[in-house]
Amino acid sequence: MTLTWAWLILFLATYPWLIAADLLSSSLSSWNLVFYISGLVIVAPCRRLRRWQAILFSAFIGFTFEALRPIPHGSLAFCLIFLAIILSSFPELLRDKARLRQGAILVNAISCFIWYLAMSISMREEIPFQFSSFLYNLTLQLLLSATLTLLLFNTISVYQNRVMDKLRIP
Amino acid sequence: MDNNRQGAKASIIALIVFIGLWITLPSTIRRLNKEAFSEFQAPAIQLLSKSRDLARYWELRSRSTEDLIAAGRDLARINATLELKLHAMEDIRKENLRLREMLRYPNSTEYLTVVARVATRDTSTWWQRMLIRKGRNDGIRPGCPVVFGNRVVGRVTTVHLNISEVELVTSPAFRCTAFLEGDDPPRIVHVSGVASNPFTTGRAKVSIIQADYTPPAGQVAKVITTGLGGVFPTGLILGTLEGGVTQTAQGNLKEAYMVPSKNLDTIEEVSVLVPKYPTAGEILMSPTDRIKLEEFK
Repeated sequence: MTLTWAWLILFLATYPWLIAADLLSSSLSSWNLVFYISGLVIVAPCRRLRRWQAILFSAFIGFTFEALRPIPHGSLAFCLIFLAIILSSFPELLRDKARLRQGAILVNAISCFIWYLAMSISMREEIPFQFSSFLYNLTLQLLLSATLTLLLFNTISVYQNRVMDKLRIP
Repeated sequence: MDNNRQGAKASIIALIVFIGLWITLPSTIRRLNKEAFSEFQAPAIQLLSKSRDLARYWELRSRSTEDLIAAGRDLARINATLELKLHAMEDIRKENLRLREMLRYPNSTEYLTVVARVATRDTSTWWQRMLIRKGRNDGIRPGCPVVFGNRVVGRVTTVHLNISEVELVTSPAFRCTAFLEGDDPPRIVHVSGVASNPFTTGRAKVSIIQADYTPPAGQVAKVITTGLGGVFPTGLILGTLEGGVTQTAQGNLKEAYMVPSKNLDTIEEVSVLVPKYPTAGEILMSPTDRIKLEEFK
């Protein structure tokens, strides 16, 4: 029997990781890169939560990232919801550990790409668009997101699975 | 499995419908949602920032007494010098007021200073911002200038209950008018933040520099606020020109890059200048029943 508020408890349990990533971005602000992990934190819960719970969990993660940043509101949240629907509807895609990690890298990179693209569209009047510069910055941001996923995914997923075990989510 | 796929299809259709609704919803609802998530995060950000301050406090406590005595002595000397300057300033202020009254000249905007600690910094190609630990409860309003001494740090963009978002001078969305040091008579130039690449220092672009302008020899030219536009008081330092002034492609004007006068990556505390009375911009943007004309007068 799945707890109705399990997704919210899981979100609150995951939040310290998001804050830690923000703190890392803050400490290394001279890098001009965002330590983005909002995509990777939805992968492990989407395997076990019900679809509607996974949707709400992902929406909260997305809106939390957007809240204090000038990103077009809803762009990341809806992207994460879409990815959560795919992940929770096709669990066979994440059947083993290697696939799970690949999935996490893909989800983190896709969602990172979406907010980056949304920003470039919303700022097109203020910053003249230069494809080479955009590509260079995007590549670095995506590489950082992928590296963070490789480094942190195991730890975060083990932690989230333990929380879900405590909540008796099947 | 088929049920699962059908469910996924239905969910995606529902998501598309919801996105359509979200776009057509009044902006108030979207703003409310954003505000709710910001307020949810504020206590955690405050707590982390305060714990960092506490760590710094204990670090300072471990300093030797000799160090503290030396620091206290230096501070006392600086205080004595500043007190003398303060007296001189008070005389100048009184004289200024008297002259303004004689000429019936309108008073310049007066500011209240709210000192705020920096909670976190958030920089990327698209934005250069910081969060400060003071908000609506402390009287901060959107658009207030943020300074460190007489150096401009940025401008408040969004205000929450206990935290505020500050756009730095190097942020691509930052715009301001300025005068250049060594330009006589002073002519207005335009300062705007530049999208910076990773691992580079944030800069701003100074444009519309007149073709006959040459920076003062042997020193870096300062970029100073004009006081026009009603946001920044006059005479604050925005930064210094970097790498010389170059001709634009058309050849009729010049442009240059500006580095901020204060290292924005290490700054720990800032002052927010809150106008004592609503500015002209605020009056125009606010409903008439909220800000009365009498209050402005």
